[in-house]
Amino acid sequence: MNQLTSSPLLTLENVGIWYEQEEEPIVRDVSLTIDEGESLLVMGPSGCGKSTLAMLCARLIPQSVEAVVTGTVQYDDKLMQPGQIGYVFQDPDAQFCMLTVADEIAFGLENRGLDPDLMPDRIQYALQKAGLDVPFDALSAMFSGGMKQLLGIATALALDPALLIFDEPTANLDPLASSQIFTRIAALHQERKTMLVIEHKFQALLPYMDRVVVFDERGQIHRIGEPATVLVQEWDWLVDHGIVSPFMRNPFLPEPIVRLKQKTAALPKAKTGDTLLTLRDVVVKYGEHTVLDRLSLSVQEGEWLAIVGPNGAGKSTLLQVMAGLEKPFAGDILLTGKVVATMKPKDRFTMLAYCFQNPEYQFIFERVCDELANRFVGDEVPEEVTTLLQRFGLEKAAKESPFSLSQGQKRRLSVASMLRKEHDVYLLDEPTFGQDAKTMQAIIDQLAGRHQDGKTIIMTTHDMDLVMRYATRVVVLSEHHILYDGDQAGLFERPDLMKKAHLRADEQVDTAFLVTRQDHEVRKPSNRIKKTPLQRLHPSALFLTFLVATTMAMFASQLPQAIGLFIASLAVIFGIGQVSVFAFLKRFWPFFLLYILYFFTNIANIAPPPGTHVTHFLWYTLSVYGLIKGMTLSIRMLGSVLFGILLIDAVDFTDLVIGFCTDFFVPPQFAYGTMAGLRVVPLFSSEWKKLRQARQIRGVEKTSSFLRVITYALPILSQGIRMSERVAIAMEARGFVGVVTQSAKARTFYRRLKIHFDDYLFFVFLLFISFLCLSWL
Amino acid sequence: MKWKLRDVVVMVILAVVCGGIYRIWDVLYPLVNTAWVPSQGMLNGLWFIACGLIPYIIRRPGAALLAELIAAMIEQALGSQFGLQNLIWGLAQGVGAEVAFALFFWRNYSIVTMMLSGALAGLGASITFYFQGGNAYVGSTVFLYFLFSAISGAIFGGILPKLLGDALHRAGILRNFAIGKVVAKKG
Repeated sequence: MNQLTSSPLLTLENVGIWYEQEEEPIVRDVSLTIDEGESLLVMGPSGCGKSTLAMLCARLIPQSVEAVVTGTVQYDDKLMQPGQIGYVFQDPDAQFCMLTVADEIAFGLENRGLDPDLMPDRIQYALQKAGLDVPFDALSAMFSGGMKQLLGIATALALDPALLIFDEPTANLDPLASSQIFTRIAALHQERKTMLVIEHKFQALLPYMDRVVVFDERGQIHRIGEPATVLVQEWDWLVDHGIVSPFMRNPFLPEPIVRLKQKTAALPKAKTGDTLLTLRDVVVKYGEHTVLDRLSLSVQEGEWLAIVGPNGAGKSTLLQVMAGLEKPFAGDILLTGKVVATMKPKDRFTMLAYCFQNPEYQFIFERVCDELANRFVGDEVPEEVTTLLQRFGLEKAAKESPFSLSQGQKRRLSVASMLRKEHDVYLLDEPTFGQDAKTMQAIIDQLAGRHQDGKTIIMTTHDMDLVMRYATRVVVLSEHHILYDGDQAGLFERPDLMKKAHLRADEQVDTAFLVTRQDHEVRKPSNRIKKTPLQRLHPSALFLTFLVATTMAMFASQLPQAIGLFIASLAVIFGIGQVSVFAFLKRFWPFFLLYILYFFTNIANIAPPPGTHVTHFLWYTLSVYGLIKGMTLSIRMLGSVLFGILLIDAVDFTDLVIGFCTDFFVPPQFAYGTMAGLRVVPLFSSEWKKLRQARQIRGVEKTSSFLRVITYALPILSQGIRMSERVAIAMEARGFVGVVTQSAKARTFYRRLKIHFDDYLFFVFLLFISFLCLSWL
Repeated sequence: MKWKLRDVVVMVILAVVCGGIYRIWDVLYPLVNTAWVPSQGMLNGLWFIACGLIPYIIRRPGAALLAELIAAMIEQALGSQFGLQNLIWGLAQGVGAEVAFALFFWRNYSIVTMMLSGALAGLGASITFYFQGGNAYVGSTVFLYFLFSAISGAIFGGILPKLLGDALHRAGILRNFAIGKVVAKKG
């Protein structure tokens, strides 16, 4: 495959990479060349430094991520320009910095200084290449994980990179969305794009990879070679080192279907007992959106029930409803005949254990050993805790913070603390999500042990191998309904159902179906049809104008002045702003009571001049002077609120922030950093909710101390911090480095913002009016 | 001392969280304030978490001011009852906190500096309070308001953010930020 090229694109010789503060190098003695037009698959156990190596190849190490690199690395000149190495990251949520699709793709083009006139065509081209059919103003936050990854590919392809790196792009995706990404990678391979792909679920990719690089857990290359040779010769090694799971089939050694069936049949028959959990006509709604629609289901004691289905089908919600964490809109949930909603949380969570998808939600303590004991244990770790630590391979980390563990360790810890006490039912939300085969096996072995003891296990999962091997019953959830309920064999005989529930990754993606599904979610009518005069002004200038006006209003000390300014702001909001009175009142009324209180506070506390008639009421002093003064202050505040509401309604947020960069000398680093930070805001509300649920399960102590607040804030803050690091790296990977981050002049802008005569006019007008009110009235 | 992109992003994300928390305190405000105006001073520190926590983590010039401003903007965007006046409060509090860090050339983030920063944020809030209507109140009210704000600022805007930052640091997620580097060197 290498005959096409003369010199390699990238050469690594005896490369080692150290992170500061770590004792051991994460990657060592790596010698590797990447030739032009070559597709390289990288695999290895989790924590072996695959991503670190990929970041070195992308020149993100040591520029964006600090690390010490030894050995020699030679990049071809083609790779030296910013943005010439495209990078698709693992976390679909943490690689974007803008709100709309077009802004997102344009971001990389702007950093390159491309003429804005050429951008729309390039954006269209990139979307087409990535196979993402969405309008330019679609909001990427609304996308499914798969669509986000396709957008990630589009942002990379827009820059026509010489090397494309995929760092576990499907780790967070369901089988169908994964196969969408694989289809793209296959197409790019056919165009002879140079690619480096890290992927756990590599089977579907093998036909499109020229070479495979296998790492061991020490960060050394174990083997490089053609896929067929390596996988045939190294299969047992791969299984031993937990890179592939023992029940996975070697794609190069075809296994007869008959044996597969025997495997399933050989499992012990479920010893099912009485009915444990019953759901009757359960309806769950989030606002207007129905998540589960009249769903009925009963679970017997001793079952291992797997809930499968596409992303967003309501699997997690179903699990939460079962645990009583989510209240249904209608319907009953019975746990051993008792209504879950009326059970005390304490009783409920003695019977059932729940394991969240994100293990961090469950952590309350600052040390792993305390976490496992569910109390502060001091230096003497109790024996039962030590046993648990050993069983899950966490003994070395006993005194560390749960948040500092690797992903695999965190998951093992959360499962371990769930298994600490005996429960009747174990509910697990994607227990093997994002884990390597080794961690997965450790978790599954523990669960299998409990199942043997006659306990009930209910889990949601995307992993069909896992379902086939262990579950005694499968429920397929799709579009708010149960599509299938029965044993695995029956499900695998229904390809139509499998396809509908996104459970098949091995066939071509039905794109027609995908597009229609995206359509109703993403294609919302564009809201930039008609602009009011105020919306035509430069948003950042408008913002500053309002701020100056609000500051001036602070000097209105007489009632007529305050009223005058208030009328002026009313004129702006309803006249130039063209806000409808009804819409305004709807927004405004919740504040009404607050203003009455505020008004009263002013009246009651204002110091009247000596000799004024004063009435004493409780500890307040009331006077007519105070009444008038209080009105002045309250009206002044109302004016400020009017401007505030107007800004939220009238201004396009992206324009506001970017406007500061283009016209008010704010360095691009701050403007785009702000956009990236604000983009993650919607995620916080869902995080908060899950955190509260997790605390409910753990049975949080009633004593609310100062420190308790801190442990409560830790998961959310740490999530935010990690996310911001990833986002910053992703932005730098798209050429947001050096002078383009410091000066607006060094880059171009897709959005055309310019200060016009009207902006000056409005500024002078509002200031003049304010000045008039203050001096004349 | 130079800002990195990740400093900016982490500042904004943390400021957003703080802004959301501020919006919750906003509901308390009229109740406390109506009962006794200076008692509001005692709570004021709760609005200075951003201008304590964020500079403590990223340790960059301007971090306190920018963080407090962004948090105030978020609070306002979430429908705070104070409208654009919010930004003026945020500005004054941020400037106050920033002065404390500037006095030490942005090199000292000890507990004393943190408390001073919180107290000066309280001074900023008190000055705003004075111009936003406090000047119409009895002198003792204004003085108590300032005193309580400074104390509350030192606690909620100084000690609390330090504890939070230290806890985050112990969790090992701040290694790539200034706080991680400084503490690592000492150790």
